[in-house]
Amino acid sequence: MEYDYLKISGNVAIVTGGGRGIGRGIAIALARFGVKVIICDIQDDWGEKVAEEIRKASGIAQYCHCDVADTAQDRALVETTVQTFGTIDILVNNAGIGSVPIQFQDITDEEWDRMLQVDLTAPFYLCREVIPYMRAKKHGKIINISSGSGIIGDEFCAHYATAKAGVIGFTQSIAKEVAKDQINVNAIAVPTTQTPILKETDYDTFVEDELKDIPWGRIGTPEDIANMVLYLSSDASEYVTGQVLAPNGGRHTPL
Amino acid sequence: MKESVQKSMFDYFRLEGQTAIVTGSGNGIGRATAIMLADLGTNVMVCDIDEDSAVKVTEEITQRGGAAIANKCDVTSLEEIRDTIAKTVKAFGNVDILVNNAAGFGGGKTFDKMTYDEWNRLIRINLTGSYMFTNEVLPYMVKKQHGKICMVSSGAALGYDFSDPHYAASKAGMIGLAKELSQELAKYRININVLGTGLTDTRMAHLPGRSWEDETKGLLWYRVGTPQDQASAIVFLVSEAAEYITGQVLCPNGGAWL
Repeated sequence: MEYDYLKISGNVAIVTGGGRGIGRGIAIALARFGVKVIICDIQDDWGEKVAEEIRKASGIAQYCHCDVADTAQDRALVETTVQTFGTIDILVNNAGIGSVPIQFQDITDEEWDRMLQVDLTAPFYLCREVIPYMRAKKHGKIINISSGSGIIGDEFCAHYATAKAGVIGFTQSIAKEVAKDQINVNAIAVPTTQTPILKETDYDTFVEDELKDIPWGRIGTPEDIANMVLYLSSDASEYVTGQVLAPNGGRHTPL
Repeated sequence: MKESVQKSMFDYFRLEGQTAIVTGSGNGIGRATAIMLADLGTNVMVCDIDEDSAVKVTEEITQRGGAAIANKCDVTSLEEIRDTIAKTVKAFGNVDILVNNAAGFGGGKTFDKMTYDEWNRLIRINLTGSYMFTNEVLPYMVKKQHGKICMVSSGAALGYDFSDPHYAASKAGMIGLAKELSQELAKYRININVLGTGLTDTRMAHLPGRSWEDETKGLLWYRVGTPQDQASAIVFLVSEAAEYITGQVLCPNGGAWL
């Protein structure tokens, strides 16, 4: 008995920041279900490697360089996607930057602006570019990667929490605007996740501290997030829009 | 894709060999959930207060090539809950998934039309029924260190749906119960999540004295929800794809509260 629960094979997706970590996990998961994936990143070698990995496993993927904070590059990315695969169905705004712990009064103007530009403005740029295509075909799935920090705040990362909270407000606002066009827009409040970027921090102390607040007893994995993205990219979630979902092992989340 | 790679990924959304109990599955969202779970390879106990409707759904599942059995179950009766679980375990060997879907509705009563009897009736079905059923399956799930529970609550619990005081309170109670239990049950690898349904085209949503046209007017989404919309969200929450999700409320509501 075969039952295609997700029904996403043949769709076309852009995954920003797909070169490693959560973005890589999302790109691979989508490709495994037959989605044609454009992986964009600023690190060409990482992005190329993921696209190659997918193609070696008989999936369909192509790498495209894109600094999402640059609106001209975002436009080019979407144009390339449509030229390559003929359409765009799924946009996963995953690319983002974090910060070392810093007291808010020590954040410089440049650091603040850069954080908001990459984590909040870039998703806005990209949504603006893909919406006309999705509107024309009356089908589209936008998944914005927010963070638990955007809901409960983040001590010593105020600029990050602010940008991620902004992503939620943006998600809910445009969900309203495009509902009639059959475009779903949802956000995932990503928890602390096993990624290379995390490994660059004071890993053991940090994770040990985090685990005190996570009933499930482990931190998240890129697969946990990718599975949520698969559901939100699929027909299975057609009536779900403007939502914020938090796959976070039962950590306190006022949602 | 290489078969081994594809298999491991597909397994997240496959439910082959799992056993599920879906309460109130003779109609509406429960029926759609039972059918979808069976289509994905789950053994399903279809139970309902209306036994005939449950039998009909099992016949439908059997015809589609799935595995299901039916039982009469009034969720206010501890005896019938125990009987339903016992029959499930006897037929399929275990219980992996529980969908607390059975519910009564208040029928559009405002506070001034409420009685204490009516309050007690609905709280017993929606909240106490879900609690008792959960409590009775937990020993099986704890023993197995694996279980997925989904509470079918409602947007009424979150205040964006004009319903009835007792209906809203019973559905909000299910959320509080699920969130608390999620903390207790994580160490046993048992996930408990909530579905906050939006307007869905079911028997319950068609209120006497209100036109469906009025009910569905002014929706944000381009169409009203179907039982399949809710079922597919439940299926996600009880699948291995949702292993890291617990104590959450997922609301397929077409953006109704935005």
